[in-house]
Amino acid sequence: MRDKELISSVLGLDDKWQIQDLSVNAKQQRLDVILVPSAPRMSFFFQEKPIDCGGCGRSIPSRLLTHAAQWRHHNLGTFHTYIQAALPQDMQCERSVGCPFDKPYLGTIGQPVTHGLRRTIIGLLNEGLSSSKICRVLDLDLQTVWSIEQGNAAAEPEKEESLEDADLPDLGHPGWRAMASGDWHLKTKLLSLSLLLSRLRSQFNHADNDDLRQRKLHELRQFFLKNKALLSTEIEQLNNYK
Amino acid sequence: MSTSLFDQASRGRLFTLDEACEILSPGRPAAVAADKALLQKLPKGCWIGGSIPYFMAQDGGQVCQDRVFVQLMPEEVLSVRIQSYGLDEIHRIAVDGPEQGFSVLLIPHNTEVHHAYARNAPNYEQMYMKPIIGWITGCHLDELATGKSGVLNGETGQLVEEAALAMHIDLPANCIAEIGIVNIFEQGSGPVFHFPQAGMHVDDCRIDGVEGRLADYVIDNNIDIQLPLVADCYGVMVNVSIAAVDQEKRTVDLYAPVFPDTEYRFADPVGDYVSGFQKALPELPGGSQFSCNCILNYLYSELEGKKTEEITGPMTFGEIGYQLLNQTLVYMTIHRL
Repeated sequence: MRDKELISSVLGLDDKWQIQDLSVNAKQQRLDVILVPSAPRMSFFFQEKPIDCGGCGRSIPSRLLTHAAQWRHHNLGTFHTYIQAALPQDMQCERSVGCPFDKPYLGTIGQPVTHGLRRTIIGLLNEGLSSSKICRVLDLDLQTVWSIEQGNAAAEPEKEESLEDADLPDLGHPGWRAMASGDWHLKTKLLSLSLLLSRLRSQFNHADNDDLRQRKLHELRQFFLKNKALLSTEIEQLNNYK
Repeated sequence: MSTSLFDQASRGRLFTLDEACEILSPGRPAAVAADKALLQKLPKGCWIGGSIPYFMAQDGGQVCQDRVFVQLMPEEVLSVRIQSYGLDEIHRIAVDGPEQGFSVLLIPHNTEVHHAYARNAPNYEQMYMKPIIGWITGCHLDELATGKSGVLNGETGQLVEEAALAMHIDLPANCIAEIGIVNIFEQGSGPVFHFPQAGMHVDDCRIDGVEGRLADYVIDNNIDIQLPLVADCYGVMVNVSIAAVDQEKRTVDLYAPVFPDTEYRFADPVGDYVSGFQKALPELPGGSQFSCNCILNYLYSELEGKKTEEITGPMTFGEIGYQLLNQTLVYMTIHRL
């Protein structure tokens, strides 16, 4: 019983979730944790009270939590930690705040890692660490990090398609790379672009592989697409860059 | 409600409690600043509020605990979402922001979420892609040891002291929010400081490439700690203000974090803030739709009774123009295409 309490606090479980079972395999350095919604409260006529989502407003009966999933989580010490839980099959909520299923120690169906570990991986990727370094730092296999990296990158071009980009040079234009590396100083008065370029230049120059540099260029172009209306003089400079 | 009261609140003004109640009752979205006790006396409605008793009001800088600063949001607002952010959620602030519009973010001073935002905001997903403006809430400086700052959700009437509060505002496609800053400090000609890691508590650093300690440099060179460290971020001067120097431990506490891979220099003295500000203020044809300035500018530049042009707003414990800023005026304009 005390083990469950201890691991609950280490994982940071809130009152909506509890540990049903946990097992430790010292030889394999592996910890498995099974989570279930906290003991269902009974309401009038002893009906099981549904799980209320403060994000989308739905009430989900516990019996609809049918889709069992398992995710890798941050290591606890040297132990690889795996978390299992059941989710509703039709997850509809897109809000983080108030959604009982959007917790750092849970994941989404089909994802290999928890939201918390995914966030850490994306944060490290954004800071310019290569996939192989992230694997070493977080004790993960390359396939897992790649799947997160590709999933993250794949989500972005979709948004791009909806934006009108006829006036904007494509990523092959040398101005993007010169701007990101600091070889060329674009003149701008836009605060957001200056702060973005300041961060991005450091990340771009510290990147140890071209995939990562390409992702930074993509991020920069996305910014231009999204803020086109405020960037007419900057786009003109870019188009004139040789 | 009288038209003049409504017009004044659209430009951001300090009001009596009764006037503020009259302005907020009809439900037009607003951002509010007032002493914490006063915030709790306001009617429920579509607003968020932060605690602070210092203002740049229409009649000049002042400390006041019996009036309420109300800034109505632009009349083109399509929809509003008020959302609370704890330590585990604040990283989503930009992701949750509207695709077309802006977010106003208020964070209570000296909380975990304040420190997390200070250190990590530049790396949050979609940061800089969507406008985020706001401030760190505070209290009267005489109550600093005991008084807690807070944020209040006008929709629920709930006052929170440990979580941030955001108002995500959707605008129509022809309205574009732009955030700007006025920082009259420039990098001086002194040595360059590099810090090995991000943080608001500093010990070792490199000074012109040589290992040293910031505290030693400040003490040995009798540096005026009212002058911030300044980083040149692609042409934008970003300040990091000094909170305290511990001579015994040889450490320095900062009001905002320093970051690695960034060059800092101490600012040159600025002389008269108000005239420096007037020179630095860009033309704002449509006026500012939201602004805030720093309590340190209020104190160090003795702004009590002085005016900073038409720019009004709370004098805060930290400014948010995307990331956390210091000793800086932050403002927002709306471009109507």
